[in-house]
Amino acid sequence: MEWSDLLIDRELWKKLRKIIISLFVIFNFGLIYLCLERNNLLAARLLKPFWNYFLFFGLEQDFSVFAPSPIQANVNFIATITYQDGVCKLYQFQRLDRVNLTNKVTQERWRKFLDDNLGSDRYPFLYKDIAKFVARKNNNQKDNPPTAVCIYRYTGIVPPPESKRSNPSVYSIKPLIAYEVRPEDLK
Amino acid sequence: MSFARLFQLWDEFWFSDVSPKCLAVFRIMFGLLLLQFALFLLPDLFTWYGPKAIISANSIAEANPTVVLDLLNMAPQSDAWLCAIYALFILASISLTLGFCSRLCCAICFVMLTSFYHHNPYLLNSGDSLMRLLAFWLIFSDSGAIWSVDDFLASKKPNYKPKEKISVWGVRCLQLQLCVVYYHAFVTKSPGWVWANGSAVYFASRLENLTRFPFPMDPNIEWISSVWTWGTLFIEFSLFTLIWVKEIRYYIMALGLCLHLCIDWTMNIPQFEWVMMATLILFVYPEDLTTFLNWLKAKYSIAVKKNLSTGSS
Repeated sequence: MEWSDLLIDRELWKKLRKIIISLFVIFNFGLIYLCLERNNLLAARLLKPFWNYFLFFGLEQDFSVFAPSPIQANVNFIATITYQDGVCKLYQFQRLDRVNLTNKVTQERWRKFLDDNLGSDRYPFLYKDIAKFVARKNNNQKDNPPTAVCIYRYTGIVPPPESKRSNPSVYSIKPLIAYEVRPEDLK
Repeated sequence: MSFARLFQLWDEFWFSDVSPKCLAVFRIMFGLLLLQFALFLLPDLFTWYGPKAIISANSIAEANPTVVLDLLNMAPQSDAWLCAIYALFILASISLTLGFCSRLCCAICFVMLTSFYHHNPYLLNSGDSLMRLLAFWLIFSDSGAIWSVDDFLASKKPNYKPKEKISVWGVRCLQLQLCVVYYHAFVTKSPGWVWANGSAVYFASRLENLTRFPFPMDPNIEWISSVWTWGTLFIEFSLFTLIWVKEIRYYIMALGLCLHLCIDWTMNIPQFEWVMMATLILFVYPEDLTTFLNWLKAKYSIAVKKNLSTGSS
């Protein structure tokens, strides 16, 4: 039995096969093209009625790797956790330049999450959740829960090639969020 | 050119029959890459997708209010449900690699990859997106036609005829998807001034969290960075255009392999390069794959014979 037998009579399928497949291919690759060109107003307009279909199945695509330019800054994140007794602790988010090769490979998603997304200023709504996550992760002292979490981004701009300098060791620092931890955040 | 000729060309491109060998090799490699995907996800599975994930499902839903395919949200969030989904994904990946219920397993893998993507879209890279899209197109391909458990089980039945040819349209979709990747990578780079002045690879090489091993030629030297940068653009352009020209296809593929191996060596983008290289197998002409496999077989049997003769003496 063929998979198409589940949907359509075999004889009818033989007759219509090429037409159906052609329409399917034209429809989907046409939408993919519009999706890639969605900065173009006409393409965006044409894509609009089908956008939910694309989103539902996760067919939207963007392969602008290092485009239009690679990021020209190294970013790292730290958080400070203040406990109920007033003691402050530093939490270092994953830094792939400081781990061995195996961890580099398995922790690559942290780089994507932190450097490319958290580092881009496009998703400030993520900060609160990350602060809660840091609080939960550091809630390991008896009767001394975290009361506040601050997240900071360190940015070091890559020097231009003509300067012939190494990457700067001094980073600019930007506080992203100062979050007051509530008891329900720790559950 | 007449419409009749156009239709004929369309028909030849999409509906001619080809050997299923390249597709079978791709299925096996893709299945293994899916397993690797699952393995890489394992250490932080609960951090990314668990009920107490780093980003809550509510925040994701507020940011992306559209209804999307997400199995992880279809049941109350719990560790058990996540483990069940993850286990199903692994089983489907193994099954796809072995070619058991290939289409069904591919559909399951696609649904799982889409669910992981929708549940937390902020941690997946272009390689993960490509895997999801390849899984989608692979559903429509007869990838289990040979070198599969499906074929082995079918061979036990009377009136078994091995599938020597399959319709090419599924393979074409996968090939075009790969070309879409190179097209978009090339087109979106072209407005970037660092790509025009040749310093793009210099900047990419300075991203500390991204580096793996040192470059074979140091991009801190200006002309070397320019060669890397413009070479990348040329190869990416060739891989969606010149690759279709029969006479130079293998040269272009060789350049593509060099590019991906270099990126994989120097930059920590696990899987992306391997998915791209695995997909390039679909551009190999089946008769050349057969010749290569026969050569490999001959080499293997000679080695076995040598071992046996040295063992008996």
